[in-house]
Amino acid sequence: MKLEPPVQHWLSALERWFDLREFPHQGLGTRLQRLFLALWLRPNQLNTVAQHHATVGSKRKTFLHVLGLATLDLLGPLIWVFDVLLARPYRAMRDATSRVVDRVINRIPMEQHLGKASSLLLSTPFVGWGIGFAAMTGFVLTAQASLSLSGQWVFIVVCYLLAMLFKRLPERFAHLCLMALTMLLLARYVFWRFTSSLDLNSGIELTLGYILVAAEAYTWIILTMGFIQTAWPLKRKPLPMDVNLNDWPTVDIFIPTYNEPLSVVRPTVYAAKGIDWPAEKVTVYILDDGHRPAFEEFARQAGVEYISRPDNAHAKAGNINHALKHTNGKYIAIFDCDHIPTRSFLQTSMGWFQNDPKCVLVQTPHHFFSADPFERNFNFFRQMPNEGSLFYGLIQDGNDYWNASFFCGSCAVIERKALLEVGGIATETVTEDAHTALKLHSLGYHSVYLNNIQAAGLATETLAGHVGQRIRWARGMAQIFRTDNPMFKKGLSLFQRVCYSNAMLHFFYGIPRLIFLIMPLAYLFFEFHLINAGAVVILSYALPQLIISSYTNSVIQGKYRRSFWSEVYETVLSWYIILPTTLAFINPKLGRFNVTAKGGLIDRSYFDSNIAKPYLILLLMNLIAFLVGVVRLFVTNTDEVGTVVMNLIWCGFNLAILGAAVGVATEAVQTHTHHRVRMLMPAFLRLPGGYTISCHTEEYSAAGLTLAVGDLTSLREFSNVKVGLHRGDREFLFPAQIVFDKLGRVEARFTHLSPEQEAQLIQCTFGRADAWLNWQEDETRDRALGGLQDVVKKGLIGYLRLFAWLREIAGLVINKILGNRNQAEHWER
Amino acid sequence: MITLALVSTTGGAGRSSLAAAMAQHLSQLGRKVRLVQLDASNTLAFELGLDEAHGAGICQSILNKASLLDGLLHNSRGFEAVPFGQSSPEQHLAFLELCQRSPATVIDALAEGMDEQDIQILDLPRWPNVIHNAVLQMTDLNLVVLSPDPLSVISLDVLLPNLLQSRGASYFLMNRFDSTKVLHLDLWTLCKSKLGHRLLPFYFHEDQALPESVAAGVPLADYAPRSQLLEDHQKLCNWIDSEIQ
Repeated sequence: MKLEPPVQHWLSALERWFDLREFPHQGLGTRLQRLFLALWLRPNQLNTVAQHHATVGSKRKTFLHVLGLATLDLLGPLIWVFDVLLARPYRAMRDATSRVVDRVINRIPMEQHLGKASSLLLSTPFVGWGIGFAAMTGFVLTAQASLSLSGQWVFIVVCYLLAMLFKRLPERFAHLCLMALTMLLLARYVFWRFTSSLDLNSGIELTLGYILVAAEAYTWIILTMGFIQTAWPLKRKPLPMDVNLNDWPTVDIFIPTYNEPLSVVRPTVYAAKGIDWPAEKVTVYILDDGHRPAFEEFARQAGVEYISRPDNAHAKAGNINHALKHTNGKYIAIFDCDHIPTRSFLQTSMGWFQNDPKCVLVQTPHHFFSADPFERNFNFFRQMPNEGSLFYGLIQDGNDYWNASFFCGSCAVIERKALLEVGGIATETVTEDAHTALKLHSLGYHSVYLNNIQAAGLATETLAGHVGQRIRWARGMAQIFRTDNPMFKKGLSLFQRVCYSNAMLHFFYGIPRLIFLIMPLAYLFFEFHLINAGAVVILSYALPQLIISSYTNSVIQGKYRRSFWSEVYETVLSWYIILPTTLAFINPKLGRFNVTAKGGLIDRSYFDSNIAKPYLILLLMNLIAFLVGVVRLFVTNTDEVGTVVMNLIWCGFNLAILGAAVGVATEAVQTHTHHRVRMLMPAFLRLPGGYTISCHTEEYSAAGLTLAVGDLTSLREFSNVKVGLHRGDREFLFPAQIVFDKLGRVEARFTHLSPEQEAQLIQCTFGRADAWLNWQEDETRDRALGGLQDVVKKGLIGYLRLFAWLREIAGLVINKILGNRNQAEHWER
Repeated sequence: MITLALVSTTGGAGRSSLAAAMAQHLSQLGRKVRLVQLDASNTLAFELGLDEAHGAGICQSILNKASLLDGLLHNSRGFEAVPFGQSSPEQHLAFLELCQRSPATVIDALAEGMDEQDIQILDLPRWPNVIHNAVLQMTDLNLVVLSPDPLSVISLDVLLPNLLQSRGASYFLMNRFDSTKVLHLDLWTLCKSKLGHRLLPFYFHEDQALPESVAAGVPLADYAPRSQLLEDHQKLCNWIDSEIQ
């Protein structure tokens, strides 16, 4: 066969590229074959197989390894071609455009221009109203415009381009624009959903279809209210106090406790004693509902007041109200008994009271120095934002703009006069904190939120404990929503109503979440069509809306919550909060206050099948449905592939989330009684014989320190040393014993600390003003898809854990059936 | 030339060893340093780990109107060291008289061979002494070394007015501090109320390694490279270094 000159030329070039001899007279087939062989025979990864086999040993694994390598090698050129031809040019183009846009935006002082323009426009009220009306009209017109399918896609592309543009605006404007865009797409979807997707067959399809719409409507409301809530996070800074110490007000610090062990309460009391405030103007009170003599003794010894009451009516709220009658400080700081305050707490928070006479409440975040069940069981402590970050990082700051940031029960200061005006802490509901704040707001008082961590406590120890705590919150919020509904309460502004309602409605997510977990089953099992539209049409309305709301949430909340983690958190709790919220909604009197248990130990990793039962059932159903769906896709329902695929994707997403929920139920080991906090601070050791070694701490806890010591030669294990730590310019020495841990690090375990030294230790460590700065160690930006990937990964971990548990169970069952003979033989062998 | 003076009101406050340590650290920070001992005890050679006491020193140089550099101690620590010199009682008295009569002679002698950015550390004898009258006219920074005993703190009342009239800035430094001792903490509080910002906000820790390193003739930095005291020394020198710029 004769080759055309250009082909001839290319082939020669290729051959030269691979260092082959050129055979210009061979046919095309031979030459291509030679090229292919050359590619295969190149030194490739398969050459390492023998070595790999030697280390692994197992034949099956080696085979899989070979298979993987061979595939990779075969596909390598393709991947390379894809990378060179598509991926890299795309990336280069994207980077170039974003660089240009960024440069343009940096050149213009956008924020000022935007601010100026808007203030100019709004200077005359008429213009403002006009613009508002025009925007509203445009919004409604766009939302209801019926477009052909291709028209809808053009609209989506335009929205995508707009979103890309908006995200480059200055932060707050970007958020507002993205919110508006999301609302627009949502409105279009809602309009389409109501007008063209509900034409259902009567009977069961109709019922299920309307249930689905109702569940969706709930999410729309929550999304909209959430946007209003976080439209303009205030991000207040602490205000300095007056210079004249005589003008500083008196403060009572309340530490209510019920059944917590003394070891949990002690650090809090010591740290509260160490708060920087004129000594004669601050008094610490332990409010003991456990009526324990040991606590009274401790209070006397620590030099704080002890208040106990004859009964325990109304739990924590009643406890505080009782103490209000026996104290007289102008302000009241409240700490849960495990929340250890820093020394700067009062000086940070009290400034706002002096500045704003109507301000009666200052709340600071709740921060946890131990890992919560999610963080511990998935091992991402301090790596990514935890469950509370969203609320304390963004939502409270957002509420603050509308003067609706509320009291969270601890780490807050309240003015006594205003508190007495609303009859003390509210006792009608089990979330007394939010209810009290609601009452304060309805009297026209102001609240302040300072996102400045000034205290830290223990997170709930187990998933069961976590669930219990959230049940209480959910029940309480439902109670308030029922008995004292913020929508109708007198004296609140519209936006305060929205913020409070959202905080309460948020806890009704149980039923909608469950509906979303079950709904794909309706089609996959029974072929019910709940949305009367073709898959492509559904996707072109629903998908853009879902994507843009995920994207907007990722941009707004990404720093405080990784994308798609809300779904995991909600799924874990959804089953458990359905009953409490529904019951409380029907009859708010039902239910009682349960105390969150803290400070426990888990000595062996186990799977909490009891708490995981609801998700196991859901998971099984979704799994079967998924398999049925696969059969439908290839065998029975080949005429509506789109619908099957859509439901399969939905079901797959549910499976990932449920997998993650099951994964959390495997409790990881928790052996330290004292939680260790990682922190670098200078320290020194004084050895027997009067030598000193300078070092710094790596971790600290109430029981000891892990130290980084440069030179170990002079350090003997089990020698008794003194460890020096600083508090401001004062230095304190604590007796300790040196132990080398498994990793060869130096641990100093405190020995025989006197109560005084214990107090000093707390003040040198947990009480430091900078103790909780830079808590999250991985500050990478959230990416919506990255979040999804992460959730799927965690889901897989969940399945592995489930599998391990099932295998264990199976082993037990088999042993029982066979009368443990097998096991005995196994041991004999 | 920047001149630092080390002063103390009691003997054995740790002045000389601090002077040697400071000279070494400051020279490690890249400065040219000269350490001059003006204390007749003439212990500088031992502080630097040298075996024989040097015969001549600044006392002889000034009395004989010779160059200060004649008395240089040859050492391997990276700075110039000028001892007081082995002086007879007559020589010592003559030196003190000279200080009293014409301080300028001493000041000129000390300025010899120093550039703008060079540091001279003067290890002064126990307060009060005639030498102070002469030298404190030229120093830029006076560092008073306190030891945590009551006498040392009480004698501050006499010293402080004199220092405040002198040319340079004066700061006080607590040496050999042991924060487990109640007396030390009380004296620290007392000093703080007496001296305010003139008391440096950190102190030197008591450390057995210091006398041992002198006995071994090795710098503390080599004898106990991880000791807290060494870090304290470095802290002080870093502060001085940054103040000078």
